[in-house]
Amino acid sequence: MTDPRTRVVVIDDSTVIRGGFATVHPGLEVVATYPSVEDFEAADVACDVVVLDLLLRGPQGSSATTKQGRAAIRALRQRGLRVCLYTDERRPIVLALCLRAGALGVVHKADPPHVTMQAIEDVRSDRVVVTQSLVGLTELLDRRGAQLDLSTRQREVISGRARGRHWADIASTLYITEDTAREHYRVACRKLRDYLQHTSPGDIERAVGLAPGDVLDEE
Amino acid sequence: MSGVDSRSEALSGASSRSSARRAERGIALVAPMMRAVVLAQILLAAASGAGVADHRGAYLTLTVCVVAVSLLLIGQCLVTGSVRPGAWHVPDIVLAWVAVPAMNLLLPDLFVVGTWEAWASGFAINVAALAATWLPPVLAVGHGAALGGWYLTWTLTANTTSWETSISNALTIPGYALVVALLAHYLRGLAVDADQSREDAVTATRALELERYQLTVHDASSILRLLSDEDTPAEVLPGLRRQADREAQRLRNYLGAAPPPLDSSARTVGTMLATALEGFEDLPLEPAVALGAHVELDDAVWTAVGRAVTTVLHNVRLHARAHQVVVHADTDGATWEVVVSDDGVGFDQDNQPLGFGLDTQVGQALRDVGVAVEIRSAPGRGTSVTITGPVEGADA
Repeated sequence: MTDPRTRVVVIDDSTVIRGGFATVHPGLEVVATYPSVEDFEAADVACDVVVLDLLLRGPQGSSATTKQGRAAIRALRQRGLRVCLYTDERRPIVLALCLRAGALGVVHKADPPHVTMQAIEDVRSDRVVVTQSLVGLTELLDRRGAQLDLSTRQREVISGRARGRHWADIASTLYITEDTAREHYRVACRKLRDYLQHTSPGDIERAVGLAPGDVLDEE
Repeated sequence: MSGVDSRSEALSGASSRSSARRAERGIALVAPMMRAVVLAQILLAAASGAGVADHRGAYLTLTVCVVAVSLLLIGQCLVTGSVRPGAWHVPDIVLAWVAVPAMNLLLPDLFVVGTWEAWASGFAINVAALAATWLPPVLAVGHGAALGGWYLTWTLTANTTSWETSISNALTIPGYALVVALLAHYLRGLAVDADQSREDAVTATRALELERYQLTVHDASSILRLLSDEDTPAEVLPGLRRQADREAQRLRNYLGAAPPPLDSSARTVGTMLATALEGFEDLPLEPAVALGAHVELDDAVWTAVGRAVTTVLHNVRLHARAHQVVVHADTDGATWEVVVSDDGVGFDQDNQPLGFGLDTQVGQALRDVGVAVEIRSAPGRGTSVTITGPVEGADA
């Protein structure tokens, strides 16, 4: 009888997280953990989702010798893997560039376990999962004329979520069910990722209000 | 000690300046003056009256009694400042009732009506009027009517003038009693109202002062509570200390110390939120303020909204147990909006009244500067505070 749980590989330079992830998230089947992308690539383990720390330090505490950030994401995507970032990084533009590089989801290490598990389940289902700061970025990009192609309802749901409003609050305000509100939200998140992946860095910079070259620097 | 003395003097002064006290003094000043005038009129006619009286000794004795009681009245009123306590009350009334028939019995009929030799009518009018200052109004008017009837009975007996004149003269007694009773009653009522208004004003001022004090110390008490709590996590302490320093400066300003020079940086939603969020690094803050950060605010609004946001965040820290606190700013050009939402435990708005922080420091303080606030919360759904105000210079 097969285990119905989502199979995940955890890549994190923290021994504590590698050791405790399975215990804290019993709803997930942690098939293996690695301190670096290179170790994972060498092992070639099958999984549904790779849970990836954004900043990976090498054996000497240096991050120069290991695949980092977007390079790591791209390497995993090239292997056809779904990537969910597991990070303390909250800067929206950094996280947006990770989506642009191919990550499907982002979850914070400080989030409660049930949030993390739900995010990984969603990523397994090819849904885009974003954090609060990315919701704010979605609203900002849309308001500044970025071609996200959001519908009116999607825009209203994103506006409510960007303000931190509860799903029930948003649903009652818009006279829709919570499930409908969540569906609008999922589609909007997908559109955000599509926009980031198909828009030039220069256009993203202009929409976010960054100086030219800030996005390109790490391309 | 000097402070205690000055407060004692102030209380004593306030007591002597009460409107009720001043009204009594005014009545106690007018009453002896009225009696002094009547007394002078009696004394001027007394020698002549004694000359024509059938019983000179009785006439003079009665006159001396009236003078004595009147002097007692004048002295007591001036000394005590009130007409209410008086050894003269009963003798005065008795003399009036005695004097009326006495004039008929002691003087020839020709003198009984219309002369000051028969001073009883003038005296009775004055007695009835002064009784209306210390008797209950209804009783005073009743007494005046009875004394008037008593006077009418005896003047009609004398049969020296028409009954119309006798009735007119008699009506003067209850008439003056009525007028003085109304005047005294109105004056005292006015004084009571004035004192009550003053007391209400003092109570309102104290309530305002208390509210101002609560507004001033509310956030400081939250900070002190966390600083003194041994269970407060170490990572929270640096932020708390910065906030404590800021609160200490604010309290010094409240106690009269010179405020620090105003920060010359722009008074925008962005700078306001940056200041308000300072020291809350221990909270899982998710600021998203880019859409409204540039909006400029009036100084009073900048300060009030900043304090309101700080108070909301103190509440979140103390009560919400939140995993995420969103601080969002936006503007549509005509209005600006700041939303602080947490995903914490929330509360039942129908059955749980807002605490002082949300009700007064957030709600009332913001309404006072023309800023609207809406608070939405439900158990398990967190709390969302939406603050909105007009953009300065925007068309209405």
